[in-house]
Amino acid sequence: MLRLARKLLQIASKSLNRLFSRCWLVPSHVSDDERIVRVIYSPYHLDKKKKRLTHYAYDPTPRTDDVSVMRLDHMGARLCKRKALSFENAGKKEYRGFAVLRVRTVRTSAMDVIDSRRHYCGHADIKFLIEELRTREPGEPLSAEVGKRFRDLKDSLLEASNYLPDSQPRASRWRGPKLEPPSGM
Amino acid sequence: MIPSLSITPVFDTAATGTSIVEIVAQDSSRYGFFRVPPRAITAQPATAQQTIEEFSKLEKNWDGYGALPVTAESRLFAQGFLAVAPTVMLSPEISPTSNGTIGLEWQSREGEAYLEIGRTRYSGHIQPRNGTTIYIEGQSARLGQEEIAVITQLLYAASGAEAFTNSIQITEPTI
Repeated sequence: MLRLARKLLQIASKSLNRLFSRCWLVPSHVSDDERIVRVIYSPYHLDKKKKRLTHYAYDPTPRTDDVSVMRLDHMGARLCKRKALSFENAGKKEYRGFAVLRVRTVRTSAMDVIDSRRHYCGHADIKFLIEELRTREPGEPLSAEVGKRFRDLKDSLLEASNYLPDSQPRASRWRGPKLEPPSGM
Repeated sequence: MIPSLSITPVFDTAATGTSIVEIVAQDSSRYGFFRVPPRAITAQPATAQQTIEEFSKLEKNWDGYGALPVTAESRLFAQGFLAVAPTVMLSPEISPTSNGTIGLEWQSREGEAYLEIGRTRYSGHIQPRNGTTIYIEGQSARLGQEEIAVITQLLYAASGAEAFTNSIQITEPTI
């Protein structure tokens, strides 16, 4: 019963968000069961063969420990794709698909996911919870040991990700397989 | 002749607050075997240098998530570093990072190494397949032969790669 109510709420919040950009029904707490997606752009999020994600796909915004993601269950694949395409920069940064993660998996790897709707409704951030990421100087690396910890966390995000390339990136709708995290997660 | 590798022991850099490479650099007379003789630079794939040069074209927000442009200093230090690297190390994965630094990564059967070069500092680690993580950091301007020697010995010694040194013996300095 609870699961059904939650599902109905998600459908309603998704519709309000997609049709009217309204965030009324989107809970500010990101639940463990939610799916989140990271938009993948070429060339820098993918390896040389453009097939596999690299850890740079989870580089945070400078002077923060935040990695931008979308709350798939409250936006829907179509709105996620619309947003992803709106951030494209032709020839320099091309939309390629989504990496899908389960919030629970992120949290069990000593990170957190928080809602950040100030950007837009459905936006969230993965938090690395590393203070040095917020305080380091622009153009400088982290200290070696913190850098290794940071790298290990990014590797755990890669393991928890299901990268789904978009076979029709120019289409307005997502036409690929269902956006799900790796099986068992 | 395949060089021998002997590291005994890898001391706790966290306790001293100084990286292995820095300790070696600070007292190089005690680690004379660690010095790298000058040698002719072998044919270097233009692609690594070109890849780094290409980073100068990256503008603010090049990744769509607010990334900073790669600094000119990072590019110069990275190019200088690769210019003196042995052939075996000339094909790292090279990537810009969102904080305006350059990441270099090597992988071999022996393990992996990551080096991030910034405006004034570099840092990174070497993860041998069997062994403890070795942390390296210091001033970008001093990045060079010692780091190359450590990475070469730990990742490529067993493959009989052109190594510079016969052995690396790092012991904890007596303070």
